[in-house]
Amino acid sequence: MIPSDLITMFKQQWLSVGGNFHQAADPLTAREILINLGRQCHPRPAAVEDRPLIRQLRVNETLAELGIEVLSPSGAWGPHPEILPGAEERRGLAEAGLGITVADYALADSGTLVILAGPETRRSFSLLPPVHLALVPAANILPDLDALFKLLGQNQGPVNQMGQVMTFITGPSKTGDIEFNLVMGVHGPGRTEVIVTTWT
Amino acid sequence: MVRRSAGFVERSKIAVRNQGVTAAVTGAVNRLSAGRKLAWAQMDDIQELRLAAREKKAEVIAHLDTYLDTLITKISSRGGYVFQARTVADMQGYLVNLIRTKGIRTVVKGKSMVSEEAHLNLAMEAYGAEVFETDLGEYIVQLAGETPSHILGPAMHKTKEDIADLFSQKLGGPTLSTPEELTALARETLRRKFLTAGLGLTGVNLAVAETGTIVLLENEGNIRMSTTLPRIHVAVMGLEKIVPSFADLAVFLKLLPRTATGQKMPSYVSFINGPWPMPPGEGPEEFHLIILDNGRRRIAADPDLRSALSCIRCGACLNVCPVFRRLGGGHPYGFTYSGPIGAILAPLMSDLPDAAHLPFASTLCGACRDACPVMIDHPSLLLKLRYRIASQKNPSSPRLLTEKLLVQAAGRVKRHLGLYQAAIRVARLTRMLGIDSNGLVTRAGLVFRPPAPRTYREMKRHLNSKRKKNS
Repeated sequence: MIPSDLITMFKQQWLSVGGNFHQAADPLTAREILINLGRQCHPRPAAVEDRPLIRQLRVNETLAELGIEVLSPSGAWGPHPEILPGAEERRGLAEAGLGITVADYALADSGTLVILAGPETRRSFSLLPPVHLALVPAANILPDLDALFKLLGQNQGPVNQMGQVMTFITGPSKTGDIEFNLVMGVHGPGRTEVIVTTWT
Repeated sequence: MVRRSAGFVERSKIAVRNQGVTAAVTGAVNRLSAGRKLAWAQMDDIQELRLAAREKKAEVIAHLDTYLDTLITKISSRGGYVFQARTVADMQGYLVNLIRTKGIRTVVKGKSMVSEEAHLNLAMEAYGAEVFETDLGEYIVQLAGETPSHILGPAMHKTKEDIADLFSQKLGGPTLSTPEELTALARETLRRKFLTAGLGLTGVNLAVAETGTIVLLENEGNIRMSTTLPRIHVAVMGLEKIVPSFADLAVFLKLLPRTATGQKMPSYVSFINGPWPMPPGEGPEEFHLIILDNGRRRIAADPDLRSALSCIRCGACLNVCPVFRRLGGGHPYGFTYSGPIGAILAPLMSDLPDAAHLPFASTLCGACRDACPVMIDHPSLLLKLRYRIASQKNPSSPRLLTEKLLVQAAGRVKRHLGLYQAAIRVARLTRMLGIDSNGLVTRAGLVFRPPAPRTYREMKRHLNSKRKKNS
């Protein structure tokens, strides 16, 4: 399948599960989308992964210009209360209004983001803030689950590629536990934004 | 026999009268079933997938120990702890010991039927830990002091007004009115627990032997929280949750969400490979997997019934079952697993006095078999269980002898057309007792459907003679 078809298919599926979709042909466009989102989360801090695509977009600098505090990926957490009695609960990340991460792959067929664990991956950044923004290079959109599993089977094998945990994200956190009413954001983000980047 | 099963029968009698609950559950399961049917219809290879899933499961059940060994070796080699619990008490013992030695005060829990089966909450609470169910439905049921009424929708028997009253009573504050407000209150309350808990406890949907990966599916994010934030993650599973290889996962990942909720993919799937050096707050330092037997090996060794272990707990057989919906959900079954699969597992796994009655609480209509993603043939398993249960009874008991004589007599009558037709004419007299709007006669504690005013043969004869007259 040619990449633009994959983008269209991913977009369709991602929208159908309740996600918001953006596409950026250059870093400037991506930054505009980012500024818009950043304004909405102001004045709460943002949790931003430290990864090449994010550095290239100068995400931290852009947010700082908007007056948004950026939590450092290594020290986003306060002390754990069951290690340090007295700390009532973890702060920092708990206050973040926006989490920005990179998705390693996306599955077009189901509108799924695939996140592998690595030294730069922060699982909690896509989980705790009420809004999650994920960046996905268009070249990393795969047709479906079978394509991903084939890919993971290669090289050093699935475990080494997944790391501690591989996470699939398909739209916002949701529940239907109260009389089948669909409610978004029950525990994880109620709003999920994706920017597919098409430059190389 | 009647005495022994009185519990189930009594509970059922009360349950069918609770029309509010049966209506709520019927509505909910109909929606789930409609979702499954639509999702299945959109797959060209659904039958191939079901066959493949059945085969993978049969392979694992036939070689349980081999696959268990591989799974355990893989996880241990990366520093994860694996404990095989033969009984519920073993499982409780391991967990409680962990909680004591680690000084755990708060436990956050993802939905897990095995933890219900093993009464883990009670065991942990007895040692002073505070345990919080974090799946919204489970949380509601926990606050109400009840058990889940459906594998997938634990609180589907409750209305939003019930939940609003419950929250106001247990969490304080005004009575809320919308599902959004109620959900937001649960989010806020449980978020604080996620941020302080020392241990996260979850179930397991699939465990890959080849790679030592456990897979968890969810929509809410509470399982991701429970497996990301606390320092210790404990996963609990029945030993039948294994699949052989990583490549086999695709089959089950395609089948499970489509069958359970009609989704192509749930909001979150986590593939967990055990402990790994990670920054604080980015995954547990310690990973424990507790694998429960509790009668499962005995089922695996039973060639007639072992396919019951293929169950992936999707809830599809509950959703289509006429008995389950009339009972208003799983509570009257009196066992962790309900519906058609529960009626099979209960007598095999538990020594509850009621369990022997459950295989008889089925119409054998086969809707469960048609909805099952791993093609379990529930009706034939139920019949085998009925046969076994009946064989265990004293063959000279008056009740059994009467039943035998009646069946023999009925057989003789049915072999002769004239006798059969005469018997029908006699039975038809029961119509004079009065038929209600459902076409049923209710007299002297019996409810039955009387024979039709005319048999098919009689109607046909009548039509033929009319036609002759007209020609």
